Amino acid sequence: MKKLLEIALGIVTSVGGFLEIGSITTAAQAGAEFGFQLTWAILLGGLCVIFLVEQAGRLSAVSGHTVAGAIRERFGLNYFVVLFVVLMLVTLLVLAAEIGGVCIALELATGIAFQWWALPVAFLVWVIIWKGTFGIIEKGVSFLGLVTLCFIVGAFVVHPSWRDVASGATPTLPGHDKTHYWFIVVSILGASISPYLFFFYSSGAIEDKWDESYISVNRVIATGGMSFGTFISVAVLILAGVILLPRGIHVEHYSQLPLLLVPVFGYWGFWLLVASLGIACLGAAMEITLEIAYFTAQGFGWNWSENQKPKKEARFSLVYMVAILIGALLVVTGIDPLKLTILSMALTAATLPISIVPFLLLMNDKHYVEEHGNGWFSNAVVVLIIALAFVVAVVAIPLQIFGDS
Amino acid sequence: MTRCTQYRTGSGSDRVVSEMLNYTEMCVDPATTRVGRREQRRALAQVMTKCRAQYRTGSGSDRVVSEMFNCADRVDAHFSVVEHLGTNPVATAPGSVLKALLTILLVLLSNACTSSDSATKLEKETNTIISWAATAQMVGEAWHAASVPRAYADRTLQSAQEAIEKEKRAIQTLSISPDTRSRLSGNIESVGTALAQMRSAVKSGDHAALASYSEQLGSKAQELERFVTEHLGQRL
Repeated sequence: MKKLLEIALGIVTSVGGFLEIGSITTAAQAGAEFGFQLTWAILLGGLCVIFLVEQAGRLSAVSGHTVAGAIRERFGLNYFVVLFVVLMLVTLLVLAAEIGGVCIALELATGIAFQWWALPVAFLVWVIIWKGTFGIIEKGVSFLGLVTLCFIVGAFVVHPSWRDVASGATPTLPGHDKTHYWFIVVSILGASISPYLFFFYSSGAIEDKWDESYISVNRVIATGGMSFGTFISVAVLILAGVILLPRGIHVEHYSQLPLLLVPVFGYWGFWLLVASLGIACLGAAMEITLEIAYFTAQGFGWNWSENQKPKKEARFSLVYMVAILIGALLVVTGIDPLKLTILSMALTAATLPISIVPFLLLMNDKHYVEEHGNGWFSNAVVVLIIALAFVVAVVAIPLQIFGDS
Repeated sequence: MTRCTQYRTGSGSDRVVSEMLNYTEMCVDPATTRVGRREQRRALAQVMTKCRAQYRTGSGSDRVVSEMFNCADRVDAHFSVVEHLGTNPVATAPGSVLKALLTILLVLLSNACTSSDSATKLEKETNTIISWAATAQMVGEAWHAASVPRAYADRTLQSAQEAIEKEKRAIQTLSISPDTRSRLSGNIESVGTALAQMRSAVKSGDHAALASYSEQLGSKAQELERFVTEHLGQRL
């Protein structure tokens, strides 16, 4: 009974925690420009993240190590430092994008420019992490994130052609803007397969004291939670494809996002969008902030736990304070949060191999996972998707930036 | 040539351009030019005929394609002359002939790419303007139906104005004919004016005026779209 409750809670928190500004924006852009044609990219990203998150949970449950800690131990300090630098640069951009997402929600609600909200939002994130426990952050905020289910309801209300949606699950090339098409594919994969997601999940497994008896629980939570999260992204794409595409509206600015729900729910649609965006991004901002602190502390062998008093883990607390400040300052400069989001998602995809390849090696190392190592299928799926994301990112990012297309 | 790969990967690409690229590459490829000249010319002529037909029917019409035809014709003519003289360029001086040929092709293709950049950018900028006009209309309708707050409607219309102003400036820098530029500027100006009027209506809470300006915005945006669709290829 206790395990069933944990599974239910785990799925709920995964659903609430899956959606953030990256997945909302990239799905909306995809739907507005290519209709249902990019459904496959969201499903592919979702499939990959299910595999990775399940593996991260399994590694922690069996070995008692977090992914970051195991990488540091298995591959040494030099590799870890390289990974640390690359991952921190990208993750700080993603954190800024998430803080920007909360600020956008507040701007939509109040009309006050988003930059003004950056420091108050940063303070809110810091207070919750400083005062709260892992349970509050994981379950409390993510539970509120269930408001994002309104996208699924909306997708049914607009009555899309389900046959067209299903045919979008098979990759096809568009008749126009091929470079931009591939750039959006990269951004979708980057938004779905965010390394912070499985690093955080692995730290959470240790915080929640998982052991080998949690292997099945982990599998159900990873599959159920991430699948639901993926469906929410597909729902955003459907809404954009049905509402924005016929009107010729491309998502180029965050102020266009409420148009996804207003035609469906009217007055409430606007506020549902504001709430979804604000809560989802707040949850993601806290998870990313914690992940930065977890990753740093685990890699350098410091004390870490969100359940401890900050004074007992001063370095851990200092790292997340600095991270929040950097993220907020990036938003204060007035960088367009939407552009920042798209760029950070594409960069995430480009840097995936550096964090995932060592992780996959760990998942095949009996010293860590004993008899619970990866099968050939799990390895093949993840390697293929990462290789695809990397190749496409290397090609599409320069084309997008230098070709200005 | 590097810039020309843009055609393959997206901007401005269509099947004609792709086929022409294949054609020109085939011409400069030593592996293919060693194979019988007559057969090769016959095959090239077939590709050319097909491309021309597509071009005339408008399925790939822009100046790039036209320049590529010129380029391809020169290659074809070169082969004719060589054949007439009974000299095999590959067999006698493969390096120099191929290099010269390649140079001509690269120059022509890169010029073609540059002019097409303007066409692609123009299309992109106008699409953005049309997208923002549609956004403004939708936001106007939502505000009229009391589905969104006034502050949101005002800020979105402001964003639309700023975006259109930015696109207008970007269009000024494109290498397009003065006539096209002037007509485009007029169209964009009308869209901007309708937007400004919509914003004033939102600020003053005048629903009736908003509906009227929103309609005007729609028709101005349609005019712009029609102009771009009709004249993009020919008037550049």
